[in-house]
Amino acid sequence: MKVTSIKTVPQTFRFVFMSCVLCLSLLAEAQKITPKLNEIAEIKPELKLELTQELTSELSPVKGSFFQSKNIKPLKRPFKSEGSFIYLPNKGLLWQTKKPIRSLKLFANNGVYKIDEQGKKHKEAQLDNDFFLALFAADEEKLARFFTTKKLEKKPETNLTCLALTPISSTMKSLFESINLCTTELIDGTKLPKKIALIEPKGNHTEINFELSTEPVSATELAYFE
Amino acid sequence: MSKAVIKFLNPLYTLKQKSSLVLWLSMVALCCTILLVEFNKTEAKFNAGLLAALEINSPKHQAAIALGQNYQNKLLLLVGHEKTAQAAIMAHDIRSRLQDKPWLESVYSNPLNANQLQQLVAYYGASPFSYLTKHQKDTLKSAIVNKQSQELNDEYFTLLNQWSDPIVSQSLEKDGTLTLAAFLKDRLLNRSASETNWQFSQQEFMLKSDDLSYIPVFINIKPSHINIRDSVGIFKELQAIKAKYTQALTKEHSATEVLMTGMILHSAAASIQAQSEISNFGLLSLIGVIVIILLAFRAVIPLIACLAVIACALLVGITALVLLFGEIHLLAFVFAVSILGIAVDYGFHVLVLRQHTQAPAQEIRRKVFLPLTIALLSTIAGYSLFFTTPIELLHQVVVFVGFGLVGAYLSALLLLPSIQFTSTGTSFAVLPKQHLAYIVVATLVFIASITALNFDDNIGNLNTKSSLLIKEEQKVARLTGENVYPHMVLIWASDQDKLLKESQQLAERLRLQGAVLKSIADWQLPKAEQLKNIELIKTNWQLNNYHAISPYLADNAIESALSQATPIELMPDFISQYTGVNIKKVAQQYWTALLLSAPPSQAQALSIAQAPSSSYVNLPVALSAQLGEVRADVLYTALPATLVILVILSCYFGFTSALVMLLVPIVSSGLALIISQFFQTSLNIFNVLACLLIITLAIDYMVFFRAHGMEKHISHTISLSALSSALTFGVMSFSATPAVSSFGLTLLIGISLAWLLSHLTPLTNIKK
Repeated sequence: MKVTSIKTVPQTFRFVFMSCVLCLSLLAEAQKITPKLNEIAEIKPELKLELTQELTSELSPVKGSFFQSKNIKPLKRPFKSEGSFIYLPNKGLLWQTKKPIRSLKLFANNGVYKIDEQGKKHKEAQLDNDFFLALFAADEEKLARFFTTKKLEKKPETNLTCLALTPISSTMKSLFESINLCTTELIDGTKLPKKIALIEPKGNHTEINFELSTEPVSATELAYFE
Repeated sequence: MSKAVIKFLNPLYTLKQKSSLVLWLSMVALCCTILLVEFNKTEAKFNAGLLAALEINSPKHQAAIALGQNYQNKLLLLVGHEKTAQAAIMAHDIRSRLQDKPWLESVYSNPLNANQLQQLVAYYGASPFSYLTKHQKDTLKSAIVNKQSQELNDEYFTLLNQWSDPIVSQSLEKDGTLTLAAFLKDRLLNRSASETNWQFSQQEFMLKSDDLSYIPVFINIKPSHINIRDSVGIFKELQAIKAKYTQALTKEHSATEVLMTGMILHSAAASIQAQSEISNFGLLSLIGVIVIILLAFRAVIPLIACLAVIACALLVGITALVLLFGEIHLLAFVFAVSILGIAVDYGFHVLVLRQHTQAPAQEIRRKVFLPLTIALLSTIAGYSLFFTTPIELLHQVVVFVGFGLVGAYLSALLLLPSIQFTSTGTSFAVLPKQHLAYIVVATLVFIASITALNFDDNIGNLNTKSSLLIKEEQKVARLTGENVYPHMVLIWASDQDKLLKESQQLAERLRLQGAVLKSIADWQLPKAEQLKNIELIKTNWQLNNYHAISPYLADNAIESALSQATPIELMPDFISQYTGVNIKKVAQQYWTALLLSAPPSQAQALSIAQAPSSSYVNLPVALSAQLGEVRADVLYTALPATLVILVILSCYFGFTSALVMLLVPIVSSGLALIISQFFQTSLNIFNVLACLLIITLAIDYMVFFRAHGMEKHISHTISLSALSSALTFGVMSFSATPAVSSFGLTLLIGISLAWLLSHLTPLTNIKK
């Protein structure tokens, strides 16, 4: 046996071994990706490319849950509901109520859509909610179009920044007397709502509390924003 | 003239100068007093626009007009800007500017404003289970059949779960089950959103085009201000506002526009046009007549005398109009400008006689009495034929001209014979060589061309509409997806419940066939239907289908509401104002209309035809048809009238003479029609009406020639008359209103032909 051949065997073995490991890892990664792509394909094949690009884009969707409590005067007890939300900056807000009813709504830049069980979007004929998107973005500049804003004193124990919003237009005034928006700031500087309180002129009061979730946003969920 | 008549008229002949002046002044003073009193009473008596002048007698059309009144006091401004927020600010600014206007009933941009919603909730909240949408009914029925209340509860919680819904918030106090909220949401939001382009964005009710966002400004005008003076004022104010915003934003290089629509704007534009024509035509006619008088008499006194006759004619005419008509049409004044030409004729007859004979006043009065009276009566008789038409405008013209001519006649008889002047003036006499061949040739041309006459009675060709307003209306219709003036399907019944039921059925059928419409049945249900809805809720409650909802409501809330539920009686005015649909009682029947956004398709037309007591109303088509009928009626009435005149003339001048005397006016008017057709694409009723006047004026010429022979001073008088009449009617041919210009053109041609043929046709050698 030649020395050279001895040297060659381990090199070949190493090459084969490394190639196998690489292939296996690629296979494993491919298995991870395939379901996502399959999900995308199920939604709309023609959007596949677009969505894949979007998944890798710089948009950072925020996912979380909400707990809503409505105190409406004529009702004997508060109406409570809960569910989840996905907020995609510049795109909209996906609002999924899970209790006591199941409903899915998309507050997009061009209107409000009800999403049926088949995933089909139906534009709703109601007051669209551009300002709700502004509330979610805690975008003071946008909010200033609808409200006069006043910063409330920061409570040290909560680390929340709160704004008191008073509607400017008569239409808004007929809907809300005021809105209190409390936000928290993430490490990257993104502001996220933590609590929204809507006070109606007749004294009805809605409070929505938000909790962030670490659960990733699925392609199916993202597809609704398209 | 018989001795009896002379004896009867003796006091008039023998009137002294002072007495005649006193009589004339008394007449003027009386008219002035009446006018002062009448004008102080009210100024809201004028109307404009040709459609407003037509009186439609059929109950169907009267109902259509009554039901369309909801649109009379509404205006819509669309304020467009690249940025919605900027458009909203502009709209807000416009609303603020209009807020304190005395004519304003309401102004808003959001039809879902708190007040309107409050009114709706208060009205329907009286019995919140009386009204259900189709979807609600299906859900309630399915809950009973399937013994499954899930969907019912889901609907409730979905409504409640919304962040802030004014309809839910406001109606909750009246109805905890949100049945009313669901109904109002469907009617106020869902239906309009699915059928039109209106949308809510940034909390604003708005429209969007490719480049602009439009915020509406809905304006309701107080009914007491729906009149010419106020509508012109409103139109001008809105135009000023529009100009202000358009100019200011154009300077900033921002894309912007303000669009205006509303029936009242057309009225105002027509009125501004009519007012300008009255003053321009009046002035032109007056200048023309003054020039003719100055040329004819070369003295100032006859001019003043003639102007006094004209002024008195106008004064008496207006007085009669104000006294006899509740609402005066401005176009009546435009037509009545013609009185200047006829009234001055009377002055000419007296003054020419005075100029040529220098006889005493009583003698002149005696000489002119008969020809003036015949002229007056024949003209009034001619104009009176207009009474046979259903056109109110023409009735007003008859009254104005008829009474005006009486004023001119009395002025000519009382005032003018005493006028002293000696100047000879310029002669307008023309004495051509006469021959029967001329009238024969003219008659043959008329007969040969008569078949070429082409009539078109389409009202659209007669009415003037501002092209700018029409363009804006078309743009608004494109933006909204709605027709500015809806197409009407009339439904009628002997009682309101039956009417509502039939409206509901037909509306449902037409919607299934794709019609986009507004129906009273969307807002008002027959009592039986309301009871059925209440019963449906009651059954669900009894089956415990509200069990998931009940814990949120006050104790026994549904039970108590059900025990009080009764059908709601009548629809209040504010809902009909808001929705545009209404019920009216006309000719002992109840009427309503389905307002379609487009003309019915073939299938829809069939459904309308098959439905009992319903009919598609196309008012312009109906009016056009009616005008055609009127035109035919006028021709049929003219025939016996001509025969009567033939008989009367035959008695005085013999049959042959009378026949020739009549032939000249008839051929002149006929040829005037034929020549008019060269200038117009088609002829209309106003050309025909002009022919009647040509006949009455031309008969005067023939009577004078036949009575006095082909004398120089008679030709002079007739030439003066024809010139002044042609001038006053001729200016009308420049009118922007096709009806007026058609009338003026035919008269101009006809009077010229009548003057020519009356001079060319020999009469004195025709033996009795």
